[in-house]
Amino acid sequence: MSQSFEEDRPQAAGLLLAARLSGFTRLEYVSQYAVWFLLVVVILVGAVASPHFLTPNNIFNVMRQAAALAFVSLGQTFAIMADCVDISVGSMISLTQCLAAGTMNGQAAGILPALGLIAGAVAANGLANGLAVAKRKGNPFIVTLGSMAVVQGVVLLYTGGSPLGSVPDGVRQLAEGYVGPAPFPVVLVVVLFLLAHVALRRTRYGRYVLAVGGNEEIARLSGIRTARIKVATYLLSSAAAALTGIFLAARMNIGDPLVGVGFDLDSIAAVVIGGTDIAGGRGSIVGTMGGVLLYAVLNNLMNVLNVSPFYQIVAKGAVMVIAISVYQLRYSR
Amino acid sequence: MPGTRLTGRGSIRMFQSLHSQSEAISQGGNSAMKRILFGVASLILIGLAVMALPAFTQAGAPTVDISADYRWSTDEPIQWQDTTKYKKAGPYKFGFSNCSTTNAYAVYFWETAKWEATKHPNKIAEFLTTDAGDSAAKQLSDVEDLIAKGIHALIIRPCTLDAAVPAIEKAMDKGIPVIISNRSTKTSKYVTQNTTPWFDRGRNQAEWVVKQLGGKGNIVSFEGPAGSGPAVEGFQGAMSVLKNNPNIKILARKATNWSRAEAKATMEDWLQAFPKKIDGILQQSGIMGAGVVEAIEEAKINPCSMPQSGDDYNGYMKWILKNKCNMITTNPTWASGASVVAALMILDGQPVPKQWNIPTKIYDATNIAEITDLSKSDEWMPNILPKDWKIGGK
Amino acid sequence: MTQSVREMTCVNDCILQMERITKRFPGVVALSEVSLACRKGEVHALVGENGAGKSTLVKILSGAYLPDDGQIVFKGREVELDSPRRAQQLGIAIIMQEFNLLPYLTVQENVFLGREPRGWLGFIDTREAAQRSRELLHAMSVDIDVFELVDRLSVAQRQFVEIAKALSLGADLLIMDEPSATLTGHELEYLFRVINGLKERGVTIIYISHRLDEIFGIADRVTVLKDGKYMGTRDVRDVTKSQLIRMMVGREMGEAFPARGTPAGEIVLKVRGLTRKGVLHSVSFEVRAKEIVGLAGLVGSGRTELARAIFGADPIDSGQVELQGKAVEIKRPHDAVEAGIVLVPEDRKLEGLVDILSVRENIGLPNLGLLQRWGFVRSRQEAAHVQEKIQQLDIRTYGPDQLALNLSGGNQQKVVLGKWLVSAPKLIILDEPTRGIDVGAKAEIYRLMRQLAETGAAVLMISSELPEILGMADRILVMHEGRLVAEFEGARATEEEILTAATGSAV
Repeated sequence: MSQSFEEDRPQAAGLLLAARLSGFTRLEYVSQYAVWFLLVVVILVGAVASPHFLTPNNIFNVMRQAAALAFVSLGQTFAIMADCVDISVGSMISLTQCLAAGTMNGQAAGILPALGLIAGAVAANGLANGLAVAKRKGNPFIVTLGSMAVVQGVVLLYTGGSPLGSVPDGVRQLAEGYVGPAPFPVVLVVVLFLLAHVALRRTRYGRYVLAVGGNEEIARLSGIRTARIKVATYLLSSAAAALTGIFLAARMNIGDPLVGVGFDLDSIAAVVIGGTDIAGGRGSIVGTMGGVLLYAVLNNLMNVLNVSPFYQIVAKGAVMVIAISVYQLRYSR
Repeated sequence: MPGTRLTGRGSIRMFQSLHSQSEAISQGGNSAMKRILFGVASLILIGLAVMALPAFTQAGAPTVDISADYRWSTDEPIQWQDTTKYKKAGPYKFGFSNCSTTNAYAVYFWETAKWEATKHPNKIAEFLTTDAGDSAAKQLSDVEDLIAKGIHALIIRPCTLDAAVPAIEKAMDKGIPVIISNRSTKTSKYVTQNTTPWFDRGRNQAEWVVKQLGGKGNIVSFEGPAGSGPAVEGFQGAMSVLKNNPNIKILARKATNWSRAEAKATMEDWLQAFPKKIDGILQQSGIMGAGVVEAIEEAKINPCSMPQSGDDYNGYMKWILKNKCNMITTNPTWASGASVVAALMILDGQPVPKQWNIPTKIYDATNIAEITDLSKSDEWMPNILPKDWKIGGK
Repeated sequence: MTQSVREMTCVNDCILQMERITKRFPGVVALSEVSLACRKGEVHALVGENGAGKSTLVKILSGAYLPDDGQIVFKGREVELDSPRRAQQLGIAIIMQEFNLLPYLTVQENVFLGREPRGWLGFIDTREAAQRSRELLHAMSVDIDVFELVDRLSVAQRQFVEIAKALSLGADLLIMDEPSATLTGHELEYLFRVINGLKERGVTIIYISHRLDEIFGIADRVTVLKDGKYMGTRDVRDVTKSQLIRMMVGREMGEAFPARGTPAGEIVLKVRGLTRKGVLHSVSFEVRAKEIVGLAGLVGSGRTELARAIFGADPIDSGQVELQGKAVEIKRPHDAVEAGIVLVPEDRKLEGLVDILSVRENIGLPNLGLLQRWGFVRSRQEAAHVQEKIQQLDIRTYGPDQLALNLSGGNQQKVVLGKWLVSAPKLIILDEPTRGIDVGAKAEIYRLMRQLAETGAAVLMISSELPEILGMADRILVMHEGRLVAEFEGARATEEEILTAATGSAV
């Protein structure tokens, strides 16, 4: 004889049905609807405000501009879900962009050495962050604040403070090339996000990221190697930053020691706006995509509307506050 | 004969052919008829020659009236750009990509651009502007956005020598003329450049400091943002002097980013690090110079014992007037206006110099009173804006 | 007491032997040469006051702690349980008092956490995991959707998920720490049925509980710990409850409940028509000064929700609350506290105690208004109040600055009580006040409750322990599915009457 102990929750029935239908997506994360809703609103406003807004040229521009933020936000999503926020991504972007441009110096022969140096930087930063947070129980915010400063120092030393280097034409295709009708970076972003989504829901690493971020002690007691997960996550985050750095090197054809400034906070904002809980343990890759797009489209819209730069900053901040308040309402139940 | 303006050479040929025709006429037939014909032909020819004369004597010079402020400097030989391929009918859509407006110079620069644009309402239909917030990466996106909006001309003040270079070159490849304004770029793919001659300024500043020190002593150097045109080229100009003066030693250099506070803090540190060793200060800007003299005063040292260069930021100029030492080289804030005018000329097919430098002037304690305004705040800089122009207006 | 337990109790079929286990923490010796031997397939109860060392002992078994001394022999071989994973691999599973479930993962994800079945290309095989979870729950006759987020389950449901998780490990030894603390009535029956089913499968169970009656119902043998020392092991048929208690506390425990107090005074709390959609249906009742009203009912009947609604922690759709004759509008806990209503919640870790703060800071927390001048906390006043409370409630602590999380459950509860008592409230609502607390501390809490009532306060006590309600309450209200269905006089009610009303059968 079985008896249900479920309490009277009418909405649970609908959600249960939906959840049963697909073990793949989590429709409970209504929060990610908020970001898509905002995105649609912004796009509608743009379409009405200017005929240029929905042209293929402009759309591709926006997506290319969004690509840089997209790569690093992908890594940041995993980081925040594992309760391992990474503020050093901004300086890592600067470092990897400068290493790329500075080592390649326009020559194809420089590609392999550049990749080698970048891999080394990713390993060093990822391991340092990961070990400090996992083994020494350091607070992620403080630890990555420190590594951010160290990495920024390394960049300035390496470049002498000024932009340097250049990138061979083949590599420039990474940013300027096309795959069929679509810009290459857009295709790459879509592919990576799909892979990440699958990884989060279907691999053990993804599951353990959520576990470690949800409650580290419980994860540990379930036999999960929490230290390894954290280290792996910081490596992933640094690697994502490196991808952005290489992409920007290809796009700007230069290594600028300050190019990464702002990406740290922007990536966190995109992730949080996309519905990932800042406290860790739950989140959505697809949501981050929404957050990134929202940022990029908002930027573009404001340029199209010729909004003063100061209002642009205010507007971006307002969007963040609105989106996050919506989530907090949900998450504090 | 096409309905366009005559060029010098064109009119010569015409003259010659008519002359030979008239000679042919004069050799044949009816002498009275011939004489009348000859007279009329001559009159016409003389008239045409007179009209063509200015074009002939100033080979390549445009006919648009350029105000004295915008006149290019003629220190260097002028390399004219042929802009006939850019000629199109108005009204035009301009795109102006600014680096930022976070310092005094940038504010007046920006306002002058907007003001100049309002003076040509018939020609400029849309004046689109973007602000990159000092980010080279954002500037690249901004320029791409402007191109996507179908601008006819691009004016850009690049954050650094490398900022947005791919987009600049892309614009030029697409047939959109690019005008570089105030700060230089490393690419040579542009039509004209209205910059303050940073190299010359650096050279002037260094020359003055060296002279004050009698060719011997230790100096420190304050520079603008790393990688930006003013900073890099300015320092190169200074080095061109310093390399001939081996007894002048640079103790330290720092990029203090046009920030009064940063310059002041750095000077405080250097006064501690090099006690009684600093003889002179190589200074690229007045806003930073103002911070430096504050630091020196607070250390109870007479700032005039450390000769310092600078530019025409009012805070610094007022200080010079009061303390009667130091010098400046000006940084004209109306380069942006010149850029707007240049864009109009280019789209009209008129030739422009590739290097359209706005001349810079030197002032020191003896004549600084000519350009400083004690009634204005520190943040003011000499400009050509009308008195009733509101800063921040559209 | 260092005889080899092996010789004494289970000659050949011991699945577990722990001998001379010692564990020290800074400032305290948690276990001193403790022994434990379990026969294969038995239900072995482990009892003792809080602080006796039961939790520590089982944590060592689960691989969370390493003993400083002693040895463990499991399934005939000496083992070193140096990590939770190792313990799991060997076949030892533990269900903690605070559930080890991740709230934002689904049931099937939790059940197989750390041991997910892998399918094609190394990806997690969700279907397999879901299928097996469903089977496990079904075997327990429990119906929970395996794709539901654990966050949305009730406490009882989470309990069953925990058990399923342990079972999925294929454990040979299952340790259950206070499993019945959150269950009532037929949920408890289910649990026992499940346990018996496990026994039949040859699983050995170590069962920690304060509910001695249960132990006599389910266990085969019982081991008593006191103050970190092994006191003895008895066959359940050969020992009485009071004998056990004597072993646990070293004194004869008479009737645990203090005498009923003087007759009630005027009405302090009057609730009328309190309704919240889906949760409470027009609940009306009164509580008088000096009266202890017990609120009984099954898990899910709405008792905690009622308490929270009165306290302002949850919103209501309609209804009125009157305090001492005056209508009050309580929209948030702040309003309630201002009005003189106090709530000691069910889950003290989550809602009652800030465990990283010290005892002093916790007690002071809601009373800073009283204890401050010009915005600064008057530390001397605070210290005096706190000291008074520590003494009044006999809180066993090294000092007021000890961190709350290092206290035992009973003492933690006293801290929570203490903090609310500083302000002499008019109405005190207690939700499961003695859950997870040992016998000795329970008696003290009962005494305190009666004391509180005597000072003139009205006390509303929610409890799932019928003996407790029958022993303490002057009046008993029974709830069923969000409605008040019965009222009894405390002295004369019977367990049967209450249970009948609680299950919804007509009165």
